Amino acid sequence: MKKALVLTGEGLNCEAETAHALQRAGAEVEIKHIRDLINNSAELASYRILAICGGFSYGDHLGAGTALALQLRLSLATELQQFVDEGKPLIGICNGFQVLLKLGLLEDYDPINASLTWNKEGKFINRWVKVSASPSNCLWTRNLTQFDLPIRNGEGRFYSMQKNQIEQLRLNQQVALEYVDHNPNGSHGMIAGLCNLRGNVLGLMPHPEAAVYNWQVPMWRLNGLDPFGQGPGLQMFINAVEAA
Amino acid sequence: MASRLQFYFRRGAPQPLALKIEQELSEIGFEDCRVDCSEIYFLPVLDEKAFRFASDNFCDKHIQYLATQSAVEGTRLHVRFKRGVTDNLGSTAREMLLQAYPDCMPIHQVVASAREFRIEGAEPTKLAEFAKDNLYNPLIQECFILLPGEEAPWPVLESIPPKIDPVVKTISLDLEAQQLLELSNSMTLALDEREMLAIKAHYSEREVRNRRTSLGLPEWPTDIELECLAQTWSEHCHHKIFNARILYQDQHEEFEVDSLFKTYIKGLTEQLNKDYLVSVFHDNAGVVRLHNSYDLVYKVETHNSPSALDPYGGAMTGIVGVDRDPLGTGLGAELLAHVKGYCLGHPDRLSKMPSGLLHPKRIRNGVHQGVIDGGNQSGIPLLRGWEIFDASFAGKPLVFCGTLGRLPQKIGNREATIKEIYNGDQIVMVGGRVGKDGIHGATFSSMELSDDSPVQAVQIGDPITQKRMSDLLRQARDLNLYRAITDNGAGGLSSSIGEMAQLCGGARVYLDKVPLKYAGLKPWEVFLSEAQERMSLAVPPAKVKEFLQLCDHYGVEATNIGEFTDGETLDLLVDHKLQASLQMKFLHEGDPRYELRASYVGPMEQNISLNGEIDLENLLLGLLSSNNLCSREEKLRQYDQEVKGLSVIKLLHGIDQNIVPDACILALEQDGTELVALSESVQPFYGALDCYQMALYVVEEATRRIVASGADPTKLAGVDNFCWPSVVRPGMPKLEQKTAQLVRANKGLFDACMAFEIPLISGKDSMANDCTKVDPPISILPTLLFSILGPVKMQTILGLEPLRIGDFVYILGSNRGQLAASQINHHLASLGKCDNVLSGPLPSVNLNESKNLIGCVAKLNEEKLLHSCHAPGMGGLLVGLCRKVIASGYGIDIKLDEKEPLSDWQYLFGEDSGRMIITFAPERKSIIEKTLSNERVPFLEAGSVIADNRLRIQGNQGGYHWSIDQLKYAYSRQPGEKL
Repeated sequence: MKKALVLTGEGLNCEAETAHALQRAGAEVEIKHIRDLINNSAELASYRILAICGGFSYGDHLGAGTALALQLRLSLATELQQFVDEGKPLIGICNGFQVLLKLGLLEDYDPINASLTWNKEGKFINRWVKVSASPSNCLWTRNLTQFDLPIRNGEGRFYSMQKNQIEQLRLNQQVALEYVDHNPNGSHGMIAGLCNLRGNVLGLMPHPEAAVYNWQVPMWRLNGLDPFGQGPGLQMFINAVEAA
Repeated sequence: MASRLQFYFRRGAPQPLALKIEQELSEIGFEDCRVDCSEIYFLPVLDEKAFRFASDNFCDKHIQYLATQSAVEGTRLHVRFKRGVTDNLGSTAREMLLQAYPDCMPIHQVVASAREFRIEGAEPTKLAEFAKDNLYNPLIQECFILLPGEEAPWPVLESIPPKIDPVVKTISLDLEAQQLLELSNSMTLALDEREMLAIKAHYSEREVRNRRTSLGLPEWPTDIELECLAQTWSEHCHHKIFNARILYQDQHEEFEVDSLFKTYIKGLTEQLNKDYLVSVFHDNAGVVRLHNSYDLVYKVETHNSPSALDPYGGAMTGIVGVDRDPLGTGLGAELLAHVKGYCLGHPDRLSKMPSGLLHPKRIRNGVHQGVIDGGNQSGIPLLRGWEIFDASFAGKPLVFCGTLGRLPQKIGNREATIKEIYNGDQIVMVGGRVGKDGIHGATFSSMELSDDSPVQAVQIGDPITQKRMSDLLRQARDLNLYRAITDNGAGGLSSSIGEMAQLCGGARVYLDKVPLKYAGLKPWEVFLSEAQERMSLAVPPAKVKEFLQLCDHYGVEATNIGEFTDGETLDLLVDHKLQASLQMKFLHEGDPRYELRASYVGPMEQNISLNGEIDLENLLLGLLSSNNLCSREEKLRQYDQEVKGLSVIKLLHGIDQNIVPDACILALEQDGTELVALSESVQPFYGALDCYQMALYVVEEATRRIVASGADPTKLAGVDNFCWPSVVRPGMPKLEQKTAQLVRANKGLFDACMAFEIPLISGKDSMANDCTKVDPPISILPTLLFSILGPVKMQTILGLEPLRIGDFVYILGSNRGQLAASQINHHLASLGKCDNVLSGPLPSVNLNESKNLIGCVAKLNEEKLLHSCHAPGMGGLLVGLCRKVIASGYGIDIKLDEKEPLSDWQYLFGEDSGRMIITFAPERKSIIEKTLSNERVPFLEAGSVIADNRLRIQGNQGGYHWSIDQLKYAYSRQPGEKL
């Protein structure tokens, strides 16, 4: 079985469902506290998939993901870079996306001059939204078209003050996931998720790990779905396990 | 030199906070203001590298920039925490600096954060009041209004080592009764004359005196002892009213109640003697075994008084605080879900509030935001949420917060609900440090709100510290590192250690070892502090080292502060000197019982008095958009409802995710094999009539709701939360009537739970919900929240949304057109069409009929015969039908019974209990009708689900119809907002 690691601690809080999603997709999963990984940083190399899950690391103080990104940069920068360079699947969901962006792990040659900042309305939003996978190299979104996922964030607005940044990302095929029909938080370019050029690192605001069974999808009764059938978020994890 | 980093937003960068402030300024007449926010960090002396680290990293460089030292243009409001108040942002900044440069500052230096708002276009003189209403809370924060060129004074970043101020005073009780009462008031002890006399008598006993002399203690109590007694004996901790002897009388009967709690609550649960009860009434929360995988732990609390003073902080502490009940139940539960409910004043009344009272809109915003932040940051989904508005809650809001947890049946080979403590086990305090936060919280919450309310009675929550602590505790639990655990809530250490010591005999605490946030706390303050995010544990001596190492590794502060003993006293030492020795028996059982009189006069049924015509179509639209029935989507959407990935039926339901379903459903584990349904009912409007009927109603409605969602009615468990106006405060009107209503509510709770066989597994009472800051004082409507949970299976989950066009719609149960205190009466009154909201038929719950109905619906559902089911409540049948059509988007066409004696509007808006609206496939008609008849459930073959997007009703006085869009629009109003 392929080994996957889900990081937790310091206020992250989606480790259980993220681990379950990977497990359901066929991986052998471990949940590990960030401090335990820092103490044994060489261990990271023994995993084939890494997930930084959602939550409120350090209470979003200093800006969402900032403090955790600092902590990881201070103690695991080399190991993380090596993990990415080896092409292993890495996903950052919600708070994890904020961390990846701040760590620069979604960048290759060109810097990404953008941030995930407060939603346009200034409020936390929990809502199911329609997203579509755009043409990209992203291994996580292979075989995916249009589907529903929940967003749950306060600082999920993808925002760039650099004029051609969005075009640049599209040109590079780094826009892995876009909102469809409705822009829930004012994100530039309707961007819901980004990948690196190679396509092994994905950061996204929606929560695929909260949609691995149909019973997690709103109104599954009305829509006649088998509650234990595969939910719209599971395919991403299956893709990663296959690619790992 | 110490330095200051100020980060402004780049020109054009989004600043939602600034926009919000601009909007608030325009509401008070400053139309064209421009607001610019900046974030400030005050740093102690740092070397060049550390300083650079801070200036490079403490902002989002894509949208912010570091301002130069001379950022003093324009008028600015500078807001920051007062010294000693938890500054979470500053703490994280400090922690990051220390992670990067471990020696960059010594232990007693801090980083302080601040916010500055540069405001153009508003008169500086008007800003002070605006800031106080909108930007900061003077209890915990300070605000400087800075004119161009001015800079805010520097905060103190150097704290002297936080050491206890070892002053202990002796309080002489050699006083007359009246003087004793004055003493109690001046020390905020909230003890009455008899209690003070009991303490005086205890300290006057020869045996006690001899003992004290031999220990070197003064004759009269030390301040620690007296404060500790007051905490333990507070209404909040000791439930004196629920344990009182009450003589009740009304025109029919007279009887004595020897403790409401023992007679009606504990008595009920004992009589029902359900085999699924694992642990009830003696731990922090009740534990039930309804599933094979995990036991469930459930507790609902209130945090009313703190939320009245500081809505945001009070409510956040409410939600983060109630989490520690399951965390401290048995060997420690894992948290699964939150519930919340608020009773508030109407948020749209623009009238000026009396001095000292916050506007209900501000209370509403603050309370929501506090629970949103507290819950979301803790990573716990909100499963249930409700909100009720009535003017009687303007003086004191009710803030209910609850937590559901799961507990393995066994931890290793130990029963997970059994706590043990042995002589010599060490007392370890885990979590945050101790400050003056919330001192006198327990005694304060047992007092009415007045101008003298202590400002320290507000605590500041820090969900992230608690999240770290709860992650750690789960590991320590599974490693078997402690024997018992409990939370530090109201009363702080005095309450947690006082309670735990009962398991072993006594305890000895070294108060100077307790870690402090800042210097200068007196020993009694250390013992009583309600600083949040702390738990107390009993750790076997052999495991102390391992436990403390684990805490250190995960960045959780833990301190060994004493030991449990087999003595019979609670001994407190400061710098090795014994300063308090309380006899456990006197501490827990020494308070004299209340003797209360209750005298009841019930409401008389009054004829409906209507002014003018009823326009039923418009009336429904108005009612749907009224505060108590409209959507709460705007607020509810800000609560995380599905973190953990366990939510099966979520709080925001329906095709537009805007309807709160009858019950919400949660999986206990990721695989979704075992599920629990949660619901509740609260009906304070009936508190103005008869609280016996109110209690019957809430139990009946909650049961109906949870069964309408597919739960098994034979395995339910209930939680009661009483919020009452004071029944003992001298000078408040109608005390005997209020006491009688309390007795009647308990009796109703007992009768209804007995009929439906629902044991009560935990509960809480909040007994002083009056506000004397205004004249005449405002007392809340007596309020009983009944929360319910029960197991449900995935395959038989039922919901309110009709599933198929062509399905039949039946209305089950009987209808007497109960209008007294109904929402339609309130709405008609707001239109000037009803003079008396209490007129019309009185609520009258028929438990037998309801029992048949509930059993029958459960049976039909078990056989999978139903497609949808809804339990109508407030607003009556018609509002129930609206909720159904909005939820699925399919229309409904029904025809009322031609022989119906009630007028259309009374039939459609009456709020009778005991009714359900079901839909099912036409081919099920005969079997369903047969079952209903067999079970003696009255039903109306009302109509069908239609493809047309309309709700159509053929009544006896006319035909009525609405498009679903019309209904959605009316329903989409948010409380207090314009449509």
